[in-house]
Amino acid sequence: MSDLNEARTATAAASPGGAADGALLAPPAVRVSRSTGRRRSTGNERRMRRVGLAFISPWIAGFLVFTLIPLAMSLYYSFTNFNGLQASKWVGMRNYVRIFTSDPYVQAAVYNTLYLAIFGVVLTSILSLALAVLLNQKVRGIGIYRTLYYLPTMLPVVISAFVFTLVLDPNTGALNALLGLVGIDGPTWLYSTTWSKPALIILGLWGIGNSVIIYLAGLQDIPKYLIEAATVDGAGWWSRMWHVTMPMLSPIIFFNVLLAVIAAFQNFISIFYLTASAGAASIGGPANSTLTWGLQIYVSAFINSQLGYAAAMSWIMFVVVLAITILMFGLSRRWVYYESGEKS
Amino acid sequence: MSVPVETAGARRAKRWSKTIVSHIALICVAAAFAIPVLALVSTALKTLAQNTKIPVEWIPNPFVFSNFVQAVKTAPFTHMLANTVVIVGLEVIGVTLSSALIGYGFGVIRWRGRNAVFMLVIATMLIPYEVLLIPQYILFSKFGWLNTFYPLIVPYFFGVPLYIFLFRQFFMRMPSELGEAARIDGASEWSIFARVHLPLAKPGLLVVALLQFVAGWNDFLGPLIYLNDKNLSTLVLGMQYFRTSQYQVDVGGQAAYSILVVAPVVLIFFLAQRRLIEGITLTAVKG
Repeated sequence: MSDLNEARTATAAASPGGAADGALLAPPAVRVSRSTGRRRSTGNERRMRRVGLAFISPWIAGFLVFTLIPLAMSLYYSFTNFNGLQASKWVGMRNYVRIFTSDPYVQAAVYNTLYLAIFGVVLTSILSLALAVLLNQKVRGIGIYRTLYYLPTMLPVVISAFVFTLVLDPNTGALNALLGLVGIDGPTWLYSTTWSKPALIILGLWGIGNSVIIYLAGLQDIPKYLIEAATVDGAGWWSRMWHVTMPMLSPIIFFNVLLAVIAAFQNFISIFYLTASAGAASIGGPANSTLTWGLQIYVSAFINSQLGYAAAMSWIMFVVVLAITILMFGLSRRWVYYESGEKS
Repeated sequence: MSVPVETAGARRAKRWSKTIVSHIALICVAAAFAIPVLALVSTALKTLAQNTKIPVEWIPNPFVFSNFVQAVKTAPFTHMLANTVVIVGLEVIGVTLSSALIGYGFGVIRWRGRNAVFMLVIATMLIPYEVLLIPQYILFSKFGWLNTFYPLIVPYFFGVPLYIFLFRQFFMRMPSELGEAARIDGASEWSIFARVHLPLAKPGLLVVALLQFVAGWNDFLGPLIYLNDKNLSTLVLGMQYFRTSQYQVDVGGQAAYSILVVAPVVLIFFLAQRRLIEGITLTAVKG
């Protein structure tokens, strides 16, 4: 508490005179170097860089030890037959060749990953945007709705997965009971090769609260006068939505879709838990219908102890995700509208 | 005004029908979101016989609370709770302090190259965790850290990109002349950070602490890979202990256990809802 007070008085002292003093002290050093046009650091610049680097030094150390070295290790191991026990042997491109030519699971993994990514991302994006629009009204009790939609995102992945083994149970589950009410004989969901992937998408939809909240904040950030101006000009609801709201929201739509795509490619924990614990008890089952690329990496590494092979699979995933991200950024120039023409 | 040719009464009727339609839509969606939670609670309050009965009894009759007793017994609950509290507590302390420090280095100190380095921080968020999972496992096993809490805790003392980003935004919005008076008095950059900016960043510290509390409490993959010793198990990992045979699961006990594990997170969410949501949206909207 005393710290806070001290800081407040420091602020008060700083604001009237401090600003002027600061202007006299700090900028000239920079101005000198600018006016000569040379990129020579002044003493002050060098000192500030030392200070800056000192402050971010934990990140630098962590980046080296927990990111850069592991990245290099995993690239190296992807060219070996490392199994975690014996010394690894260099096998050249053999892991990559095996992935592209002879691994019997790859085809299923690619198909399932793309299926879940495409349908999952499209559905979550449309639904979360629609929900945010629905929530962005002056309706009584909006706080309760918001809490309800957001709650599932606070649960651990394995617990939501467990909850869905209850909801999706073919005989005792709530979903088939509801479908029965409208006369539909529900499928066996996690036990069916056709319906296991839609079941996973439904589980994903339960957790869209995060993107709903982000869209909602974006909607509330749109200046009221823009929408009022459009109304005065005679624009109807759809027209306002399409010509005002959507362009203003497009940077956030882009952000959310990008996150959803990356998450769709990486997600495997819920599938791992669901398929390992459902009665079928086969990871990625039934009949490999939920085997995704990420899940296959985990199984190869931690169940089959083929760490080298799994590293090669993970690098392919990295390259694909990176390529999609770059592609999406490229395409975004065509449809994402940045206010004041500034790219954020 | 050429367009609206409506009487006041017609307009009011239209507005009414609109609110009713949106209420119905909101209630339907809310029900869809609530049903899985209700199913969980209902399962937790029924015996195994009640749980496997067809047709399903949606409302437990009678209500049974024995599952909660069973849940605490099946899994060594207090032991796992203690493990979880130690791990999450240290994660929270480590990540808030380190990320605040690093965020300050990017948000307040002006140095050449800081934007380029910051882009690198953001870029690391794109690396799929699958890529780092395997080499980190190998690295930590070489450190002799398997079956210890270190792999779960230590990395957090070096900052997390998302939180670094949050703190950078937070510090950048503070007036730049804030530290000048102290600087003129000869205070070191460190003490300006610790005594001027950090105390003002309490709301940011709270948001990051809460986000990490939830993330750490809910983590499954880390404990699954690094903690094979049952004595080191965390609460979420304890979800595995309800399989009675290959095809049999004590559903009621597991449901009751799930509720016990989730309760603290839900409680914190209710208490700090506004703060948490602000923190989450800040990262996306005000980037």
